[in-house]
Amino acid sequence: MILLWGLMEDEPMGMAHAALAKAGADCFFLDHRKVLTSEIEYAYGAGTGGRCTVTQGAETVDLGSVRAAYLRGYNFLDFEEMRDRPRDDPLAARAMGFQLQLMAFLDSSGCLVINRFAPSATNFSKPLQLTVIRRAGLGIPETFISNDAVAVRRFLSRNPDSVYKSISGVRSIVRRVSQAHYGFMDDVGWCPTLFQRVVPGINYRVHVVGDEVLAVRLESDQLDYRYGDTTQVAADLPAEVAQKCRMLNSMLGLHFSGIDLMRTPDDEWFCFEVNPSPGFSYFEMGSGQPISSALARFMMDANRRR
Amino acid sequence: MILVLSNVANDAAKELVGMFPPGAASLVTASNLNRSFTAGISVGDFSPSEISVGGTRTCAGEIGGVVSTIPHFLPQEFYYIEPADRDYVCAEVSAFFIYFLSELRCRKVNSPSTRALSGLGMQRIEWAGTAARCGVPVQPFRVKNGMPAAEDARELRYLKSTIIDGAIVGDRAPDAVCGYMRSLTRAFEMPYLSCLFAGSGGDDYALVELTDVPDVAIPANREAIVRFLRQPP
Repeated sequence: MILLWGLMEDEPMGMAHAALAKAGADCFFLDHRKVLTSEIEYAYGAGTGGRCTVTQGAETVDLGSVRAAYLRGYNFLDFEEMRDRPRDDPLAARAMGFQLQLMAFLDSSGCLVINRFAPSATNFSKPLQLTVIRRAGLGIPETFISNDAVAVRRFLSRNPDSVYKSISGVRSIVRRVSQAHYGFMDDVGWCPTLFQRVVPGINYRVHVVGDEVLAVRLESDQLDYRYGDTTQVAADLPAEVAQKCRMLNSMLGLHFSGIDLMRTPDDEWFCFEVNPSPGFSYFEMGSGQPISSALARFMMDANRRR
Repeated sequence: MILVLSNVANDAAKELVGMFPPGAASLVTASNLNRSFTAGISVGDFSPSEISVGGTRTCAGEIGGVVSTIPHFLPQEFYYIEPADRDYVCAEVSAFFIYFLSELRCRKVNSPSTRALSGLGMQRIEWAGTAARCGVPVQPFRVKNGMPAAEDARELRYLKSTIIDGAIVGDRAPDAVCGYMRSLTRAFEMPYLSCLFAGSGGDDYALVELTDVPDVAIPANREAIVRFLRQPP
């Protein structure tokens, strides 16, 4: 069985579900919106090991029968039922407990999980992820993290054309450092910040699904293509770069990832970061790259194999 | 220089710092971060990167040991930040330290993971399988919606055991339990583990709890940690 966990109105989940349905896959959709009323139970016995079941509405599923899982959980605190409730509301604690238990069971199971929590968490620390990117053989832009304004000024004097962004996985708009920023540079003393030399070139978004590599070239009028007028074209990567992307995906312990690359005018390739839960729908709809089909095929292969 | 990462309320962490020669160890907390720790780290050229610990300037490669007594920073520790921004600052500082601690090539109690500043941040469901695979009996348990369900109602004897750097700390434990502790510390690659075992008689103990964040409130643990960090690399 293939387990899907998320919201059907989430485009990547909807597209993955549609691709699996079209291919006739045996799927169970665990609706995240029902997390507040669903139940998950785990029992560990000395002779039997662990057994975990999920009940949603009238249906109970033995998670031991899951051979592949695609997870795109959301922040349940944003759900209508949670409006005006405090974070420590018993309903929130129950929902959080459900999520953690589901992740813990799947992470410790032998099934294909897209993606397990611990590998996905490298995205919570960009510099940590950048060290893995380097080890995979891809270039990284000169990067400096600091809570010391003097040290930041020194970095910026050497790299005047730089951007700043979050160190963690919290989504932030990448911004170019301007003269105006020097006026409040001392603020980094309150919160460490990541600075990165600007690398000129053309953005590529690469989705790695198992061994399959699907690349999209992005031509944008903005530094951060997510916030600009962007043209997408399906592209082929040089074999060596594609292989490094596969290796990076594997070194991070991921099965499916979205890798942000930059190709410079000198034909050098730099990598900015890896998204372990890529919102691939934007790129599939923009470029025609059949990412959801590749994802469905990958999960169905795992479902047959195991 | 030894870094002790903790929270400002942990007096035992301060005592641990005091067990090293003056200036050899420093306490770093979220609450006094801009006084206790500043850094400018070049990703990709980590060791020579300049840091300041407790006012002493050094470089990252000179850190000789780390003790993290907390799995996470908490937003409320950043009391000096506007409430609306505390979650963000907490996430940023956590991301910074997970990277920083991961890159240090020194003794760590315990090493960080992507999920925690110290240890693997595992739930019981996760460590139970690994423990069983390395031959450690695990006490049967049930979890519902993340909460432990009713446990074995029989009268059980409980025994807590801590291992640091391969040596059992504190009271003598049965040989079987010592063997389990050594298997677990190897399996999880963590120099510090503290485990609770339950037994119904004889030496038939089974694992109930596993903690990989060091408890420095226990004097014997502090002494063992100091011995571990004083060893040559």
